[in-house]
Amino acid sequence: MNDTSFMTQTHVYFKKVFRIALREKAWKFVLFAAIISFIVASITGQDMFKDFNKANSGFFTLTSACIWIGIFNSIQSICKEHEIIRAEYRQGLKISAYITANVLWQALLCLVQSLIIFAICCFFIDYSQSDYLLISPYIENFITVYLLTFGASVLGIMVSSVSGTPTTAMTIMPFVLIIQLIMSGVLFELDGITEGISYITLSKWGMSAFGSVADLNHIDLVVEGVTVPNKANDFYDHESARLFLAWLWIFGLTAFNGVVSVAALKLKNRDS
Amino acid sequence: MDEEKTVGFAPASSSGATLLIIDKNCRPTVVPLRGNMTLGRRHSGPLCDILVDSGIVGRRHGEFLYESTQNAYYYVDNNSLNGTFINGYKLEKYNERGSKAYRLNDGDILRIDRKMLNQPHPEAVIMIFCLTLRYDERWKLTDVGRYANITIGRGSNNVIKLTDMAASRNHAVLRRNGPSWLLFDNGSANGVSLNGREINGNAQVFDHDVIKIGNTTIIMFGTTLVYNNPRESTGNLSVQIRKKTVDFGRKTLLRDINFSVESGDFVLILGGSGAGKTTLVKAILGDGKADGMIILNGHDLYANFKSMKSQIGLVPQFLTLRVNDTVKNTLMDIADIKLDRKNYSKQEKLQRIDEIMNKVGIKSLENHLIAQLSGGQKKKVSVAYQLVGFQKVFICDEPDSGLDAASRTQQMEILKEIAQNEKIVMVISHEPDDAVDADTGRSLFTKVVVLAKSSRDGAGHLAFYGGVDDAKRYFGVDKLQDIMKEINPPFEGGKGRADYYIEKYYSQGR
Repeated sequence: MNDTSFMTQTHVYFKKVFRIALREKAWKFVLFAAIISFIVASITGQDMFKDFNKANSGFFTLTSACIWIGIFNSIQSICKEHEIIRAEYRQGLKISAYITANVLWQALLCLVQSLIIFAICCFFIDYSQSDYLLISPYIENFITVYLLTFGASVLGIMVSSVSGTPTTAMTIMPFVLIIQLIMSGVLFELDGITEGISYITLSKWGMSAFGSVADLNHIDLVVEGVTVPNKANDFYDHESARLFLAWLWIFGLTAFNGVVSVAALKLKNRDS
Repeated sequence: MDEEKTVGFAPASSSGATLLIIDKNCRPTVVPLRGNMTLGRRHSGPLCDILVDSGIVGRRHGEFLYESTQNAYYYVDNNSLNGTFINGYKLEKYNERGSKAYRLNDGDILRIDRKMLNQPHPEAVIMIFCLTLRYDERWKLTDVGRYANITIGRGSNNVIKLTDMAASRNHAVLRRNGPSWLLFDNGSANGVSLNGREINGNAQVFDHDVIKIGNTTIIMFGTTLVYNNPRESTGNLSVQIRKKTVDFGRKTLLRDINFSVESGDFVLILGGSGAGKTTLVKAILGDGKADGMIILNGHDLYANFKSMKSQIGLVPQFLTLRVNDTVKNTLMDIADIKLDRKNYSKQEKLQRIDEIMNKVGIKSLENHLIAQLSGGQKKKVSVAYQLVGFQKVFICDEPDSGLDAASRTQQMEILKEIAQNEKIVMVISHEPDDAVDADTGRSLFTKVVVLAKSSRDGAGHLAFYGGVDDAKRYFGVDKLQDIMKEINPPFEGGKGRADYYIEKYYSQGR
């Protein structure tokens, strides 16, 4: 006996999500990404690598912007369709195919957004001042921007899947964002439990990736016009292994959020 | 050369179960089952109700027993010499009178034969218990003696060409294997069963074995294959709810709901607020399982929920479709989900959704976004959406709400037409008197379920189940919606006679 396969359903739903997103003016998300990245890069970009504080806060703002843009892409995508999903699940929908189709759409949308974000950043930030770790600081920074935005989109899908209604999802979103900002390790020193929790935030690994590519540990700290040596942060080590580890964590968290989304929807529809 | 014939026999009651009998002459005969009936050999002594020409059938071989409370048939073998096999297993002697009573499910295969089923006796008899088989079913006999491979499916290149839409294009193949055959499932959408059991990949087929593909029954008889060309049929839906509780059993929402609906019925569900209409619908859908059974075509929905849930579709009160997609894309996507690519070509899917759009009157809207449609048109799309698969039962929650009187009637006419195509349609409606035939002025509904909330236990009970005219007489009203006035409490503008009608219904032993 044959059910329609996972691949077939993923294909059907990807086409559907894509078609409907275009009708619902998905270009708005691209425009928002452009506006936000322009504001962030224009304010933080100039002379960013001359001072540790400037570089640190600049990357922190960029990290936050990527996470905000990503979550905003998808936070309402699933929860507004719970009743539709329930009806379709009864008809033979595979939840895993449905989530995969949404994740693939987000991967595409985030690619376009990341290209625009990074293009605007390049206009204001002189990435050539960094030494490359793997290929080029441009590509390494672009991959980080993309992984962060896409990871945040899947985080948004997870929150949307868990939430019963769009209102609930929008209520949860600020808490998720605040946790991401606090746990990045930039605003506050983290230790003990909070440091443990920070390992499961995209912001920590986003900062680690940006910091390691830019070699933040070797950018001097300027205090009241006096240059002082910067206190080294292990997560900003200018090493390819450090960069890989950060990307791997972001990828792992993204995959985890995808799995949680599928589980949450299956749980919600267990009686259907 | 195929020989096609319409089998002659007494017409079966449309509401009853039937027994398909194939004897030594390879002649399919359908016998309607009407209550308790005995089975035996045709001979000169006292006659049984069902007579079979076979030397290996006993004079009073077995009995079919009807259990009215369960609306089910049982079979007992009367300790006959050769016994009775059901789905390949012989009924064992239980006491001096016979075997244990076996509850028959749709499609069960009874066989009277000697011990070696793979070497059937020349006078062996096959009987199939059916709930969906029609007395005017057409049967084909095809001589397959010259074939080494017998392909079966809807495709025109098959040896056995089926018209049943539940069959795949290239559904299965029989390959000669010495004196027997090997049956292969070609990765079909709906599977293949052999002697009542679904096969996994392939299985060995012997003479007298019964193959079931979708709604088609194929019987191997020497070098002849006997098979039918069934119409799409639903059979019977039996609702048997002892109770439905919530809050960990503290609150009972429904109690003692028992009724049975036939294929072709258009059923109205009536009930005041809190009487349990939505709870009943959810129980029938299996979304909120009750303490009891929902039997569709002899199969328990709750026990086979995963495989059966798609046979019961819900047309919800509020739209559950993506409004920024076109009508055609919406239907095509669900066709892609329900009908796999391997077995249904794109052309066949397009043809099916075209038929459905024409049937519900939305063909001209196929390229419109659902958001652009009126309330009535959206409801039609919801109905069409449910029709794409092979659902047998449709439950519609207020399909006429928010529509003007003309649209309400039109909507009900569409649902009635669906029911007439051998489906079951159940409708919750607050304007039931608008659903009338334009020519005769008679109600479109064939049955009415009335739920009423008892003041004694606060649960919804059955206050009536039966035909429309009977319902009006029972409640002493001229209009269906006046039934609500009889059973609703005074604070809702009713006469508060719910308890009276519940007791009346039970006291009449309905």
